[in-house]
Amino acid sequence: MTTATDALFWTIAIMLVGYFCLVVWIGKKGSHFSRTMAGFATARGKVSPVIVGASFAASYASANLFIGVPGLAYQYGTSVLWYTLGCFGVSWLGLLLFAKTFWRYSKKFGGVSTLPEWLGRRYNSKTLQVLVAILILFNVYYIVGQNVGLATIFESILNIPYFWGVIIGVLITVLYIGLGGAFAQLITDGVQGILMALISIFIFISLFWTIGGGLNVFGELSYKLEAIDPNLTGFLSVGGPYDSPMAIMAVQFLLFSFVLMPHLLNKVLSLESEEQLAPFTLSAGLILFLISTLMVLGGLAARVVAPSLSSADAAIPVYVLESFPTIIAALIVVGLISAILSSTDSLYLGLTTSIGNDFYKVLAPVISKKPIALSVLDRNAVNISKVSLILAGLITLYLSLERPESLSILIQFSFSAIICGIIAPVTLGYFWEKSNAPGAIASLIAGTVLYVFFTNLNIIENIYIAMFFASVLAFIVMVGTCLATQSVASEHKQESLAISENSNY
Amino acid sequence: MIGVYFILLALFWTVGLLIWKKIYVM
Repeated sequence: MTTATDALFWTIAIMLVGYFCLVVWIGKKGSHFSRTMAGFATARGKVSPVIVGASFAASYASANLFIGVPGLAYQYGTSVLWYTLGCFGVSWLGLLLFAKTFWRYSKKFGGVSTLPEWLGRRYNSKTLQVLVAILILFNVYYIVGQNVGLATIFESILNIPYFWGVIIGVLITVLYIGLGGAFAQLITDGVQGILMALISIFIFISLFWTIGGGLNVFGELSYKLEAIDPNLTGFLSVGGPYDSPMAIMAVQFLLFSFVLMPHLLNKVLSLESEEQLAPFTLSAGLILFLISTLMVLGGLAARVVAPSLSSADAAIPVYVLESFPTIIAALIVVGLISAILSSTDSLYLGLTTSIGNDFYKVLAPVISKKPIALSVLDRNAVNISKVSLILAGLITLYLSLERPESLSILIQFSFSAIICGIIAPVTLGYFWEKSNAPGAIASLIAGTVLYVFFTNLNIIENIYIAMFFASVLAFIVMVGTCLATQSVASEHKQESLAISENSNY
Repeated sequence: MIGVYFILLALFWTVGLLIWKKIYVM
């Protein structure tokens, strides 16, 4: 066993170094785009829309989909397929419906880099911009989930203790991001999305020899799962998060609104012309389909192949190790690691860009009470983004040391908290002209606070249903506040129009 | 459930492509 692990360890280490060299090379090519804040954050117009689409899918699919969801499938059986079904179907429909409007609005504002900035411009409110940036700090827990995913891979495949796995995970993540900037990120994420799609197809095909049964492989899989536990093959899980039709509907609602996540919508902003939206959305849909719907079948097969794992999250790493020859297994493991890195870098970049763009650039002139030259402001914002990356890395490292019970549930909690806050301001901002800043601010606070309140006090146990109700209440608060403040807002309207025409940051 | 899964995936592809064609290929 030791020799096999040794060979595997070195194969994986060499492949990872090779992958990092590739990233450095691409980062060097794009380094002169990363000098300004807009270039650092979105690399606008420099990358093919097909690659941007693949990059969208790669960032969408994180450790949650590769490690966490197959882990849930291992534990609860086929009811988890409702989740991955939504990941492709409902999320892609969401992207199709939102992408064009979001892109057009961003053009109207003369190019914005981040969602907080987008909302700040849409509602003409610096307060809202800063509040959304604070909300994005919830992404720290999303990153913690990615660290846990990396540590789980290292632990179950290379026998590295969890504690050291977390430290190695954070180190390679920060190194990976330091190498690039947005240009390298878009390219490597795009390549990585395509690589991940291939790996997902590999996992799918492997069922033919791990489960057997020829063309009836899924009949065979159901039969073998049922033999282990009849509850594993039902439409709804017994216990667990997918145990009622209401929960399944709430999952679909969550996944529909998931495309509103800032680190994903930022991808749309990197497209240069409206014609690029068509190849972008199609490429995103295809890669998203391959990445998100096939891997979960490996989690189900793992329950048959290795039925007594101590941690369900180890399902995919163990399955890969059991089902493939060493060299292929090493390749898949490196693919998984790079897949997790590709999501984590988008999250870190979204977080640190927000700190530079939405905290510093907005608050510095206010605090220093005198105007600061734009070029100085921009240069400082880039530097502050880079420093905050190290700080964020350390915070997530600390929070990852205590292992969560389920990686998926932790990640889904963090992004649900963000979505509850931004869902009403973003969607009503598109479609309802009466929506205004007081309404957006009230809704943002109400949605997030209610969600945290519901879940922490166990008022609504199921995280998906809690998210649904918090979002509905956020919409009600927003509509109510907007209508109540209409008269005040219309007096300010002329004034605000003048401001937005003159603002030039 | 696995059979239903594949049928629903095909359905989503159909609906998605129809919407894509309507919004983005004009």
